[in-house]
Amino acid sequence: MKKIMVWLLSLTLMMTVIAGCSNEQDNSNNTGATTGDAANANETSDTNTTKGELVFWTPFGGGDYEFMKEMVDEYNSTSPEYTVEIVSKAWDTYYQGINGALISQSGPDVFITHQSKLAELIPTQQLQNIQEINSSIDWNEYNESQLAGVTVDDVQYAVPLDTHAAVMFYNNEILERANLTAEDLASANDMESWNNILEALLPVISQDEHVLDIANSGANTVQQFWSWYVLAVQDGGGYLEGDTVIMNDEPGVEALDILIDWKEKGYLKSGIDDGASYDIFKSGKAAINFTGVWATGNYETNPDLDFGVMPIPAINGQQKTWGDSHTFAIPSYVDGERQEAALYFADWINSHAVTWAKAGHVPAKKTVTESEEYLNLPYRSDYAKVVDQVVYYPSNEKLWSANDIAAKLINTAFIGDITSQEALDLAKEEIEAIME
Amino acid sequence: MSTNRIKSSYNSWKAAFVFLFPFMLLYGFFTIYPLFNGFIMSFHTGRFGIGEEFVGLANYIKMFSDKHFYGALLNTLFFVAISTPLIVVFGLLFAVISNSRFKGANFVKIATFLPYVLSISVITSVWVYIFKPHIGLLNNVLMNIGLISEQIMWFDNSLFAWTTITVATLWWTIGFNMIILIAGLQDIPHSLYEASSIDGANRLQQFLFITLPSLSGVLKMVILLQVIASFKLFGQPWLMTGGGPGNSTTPMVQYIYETGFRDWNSGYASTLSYMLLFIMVIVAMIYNRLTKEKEV
Repeated sequence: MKKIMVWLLSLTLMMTVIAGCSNEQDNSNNTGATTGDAANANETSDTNTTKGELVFWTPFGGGDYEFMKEMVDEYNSTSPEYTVEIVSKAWDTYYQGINGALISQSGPDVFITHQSKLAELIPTQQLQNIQEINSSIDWNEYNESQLAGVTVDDVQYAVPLDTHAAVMFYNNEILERANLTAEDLASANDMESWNNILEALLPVISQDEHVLDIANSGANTVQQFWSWYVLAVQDGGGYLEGDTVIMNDEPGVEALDILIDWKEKGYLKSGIDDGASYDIFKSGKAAINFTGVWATGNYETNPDLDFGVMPIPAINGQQKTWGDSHTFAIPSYVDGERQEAALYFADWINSHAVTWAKAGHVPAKKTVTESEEYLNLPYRSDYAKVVDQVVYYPSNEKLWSANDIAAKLINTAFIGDITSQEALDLAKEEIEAIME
Repeated sequence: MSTNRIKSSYNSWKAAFVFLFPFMLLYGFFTIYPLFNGFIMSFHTGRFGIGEEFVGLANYIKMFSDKHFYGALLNTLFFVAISTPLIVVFGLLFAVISNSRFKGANFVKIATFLPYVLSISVITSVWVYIFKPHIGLLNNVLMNIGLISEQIMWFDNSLFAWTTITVATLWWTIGFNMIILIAGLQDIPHSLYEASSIDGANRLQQFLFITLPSLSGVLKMVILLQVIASFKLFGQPWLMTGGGPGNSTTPMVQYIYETGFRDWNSGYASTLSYMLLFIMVIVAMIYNRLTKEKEV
């Protein structure tokens, strides 16, 4: 009897271990999602008409996830051939997971990737050429610059979903104190008028308020990097050209000096970390906030905040800004019929992306951005034209590594440890070293 | 041996194997195999999973002229040197308090241990919220009581940044050492204290001449464990300071992570990992030599 018990127990143990291992593939960390539980095949309601289920990986959490899930649920309710299971993966390790999936040829059927990450994923040779998949998609419905962004050497590697760019949020109440209006901000098309605005705002803010709110401290200073990027590209400068760094040319150095000047004049205080940059503007303590369009949904949730949003004016030359895109990519290891289903799904989401616009992003289809429903959304249509002002990152396999290095060195100069020229020269040296 | 004894010994082995098998399978696959594979990877270069090529000792040679390697190593050694004494001393302090007879002792024990149960994301979130300028707790409190008139930029200065990391680590881990030391304290026979107080010893003398020597075995283990844990520092700087400002709080493990999982240079990352392992083994060997009990 005892022997049987021993064998039964060990069998149970082994089964638990094996079951746990197989669940590992689809289960992932859900970041704040309420219903994103990724157990296998529990979304399929009608097993008669559905052929199967596509697994859809996203790095979205919070509001982004809720909006995307809303659209996926709507898609599933149309009883498609293949239903879709959306997975909310932890942002911190998202691309490590994607790389792992592509290299091992085992993972999602369709996934979200940034347009700027495509160059890193293409060498895995696991990104399906979209044009080779059977579909009846009308590509004319898509914004041209977005389509160009996902095409490398005449191969289309992804389907654009949105553009998200750096824009300017402003607090109407604080502007009023200085007798300024949104019009004044919009027409600040050179450095002089911009400086006049900053000068006018400084005396009317209290000790715990800010004129400019840009994240410039702590674990994640990417927003400061984007602000540098905006100023540099407005002046005709750049970041990378192929594997050569050009950020330490004159426009780049001047752009960094401008940021430091804002600090020294008291417009931009040190010590604002990434999280604080949202909290400070949201609680009404900043006149102007440079951040991404995705903050719109967050700021809207404070009814006491009287704010507006517009594309960043041409303070340093031409009206250009930083931006990136979310796109849908389909791995090559997915078999033919499922690839078609995935592509159909991506296009369907794009047609219904007015919901996605609520998250703040600018949808990729012109049919959506020109629709009445989209234009009636508060704030979003104010910055829709930013899509054509974005200077996309150059296509580079080591781009995100370069961004990391650049952000750290720009921050070091901002803190005052080294000069702008020194920082950007070092950036050139270090980035080119990892480009080999 | 009788057949019964042979049979029962074989049966025990059978049972042992059955129980150990699931674990050994996972352990072999996820720990032993990567250990060997990583060593082999350290002699290769190229992008992980896509195009690796054998380059012999090139990675090791590269490492010795890599200023980032030295920077990260120094950062790790710095953290080991400052955090270990602090965590051990405070662990001991709280152990003594928790083990004493005063009324709040049990509460102190629970309160000190509780943070250890939390995950790294939670504790770093909490401490970033405390330290962040403008809207964080600490600066606001210090300003309200008049100790400072300007914001302290906790994350813009290397020393301050290390302070935030060390404070968060202290709060998080002294509980663990405390528990081990409490066990050590409870092993000390009470009669020693009674006898010494009859002879007129005061509390400090009792602590120095009874408590500490009796704890020496446990203390040695606690210190070694803490040194090893500090060498593996990653989460706190990664989540609190990003390794910054610049690279001033970037420890070895972060450099390894960035090389392997951001730049996808798995070969060089493996090289760095094995170097870290080698250094830790040397440190452990030196430590064992220094703390060897003299044979009686």
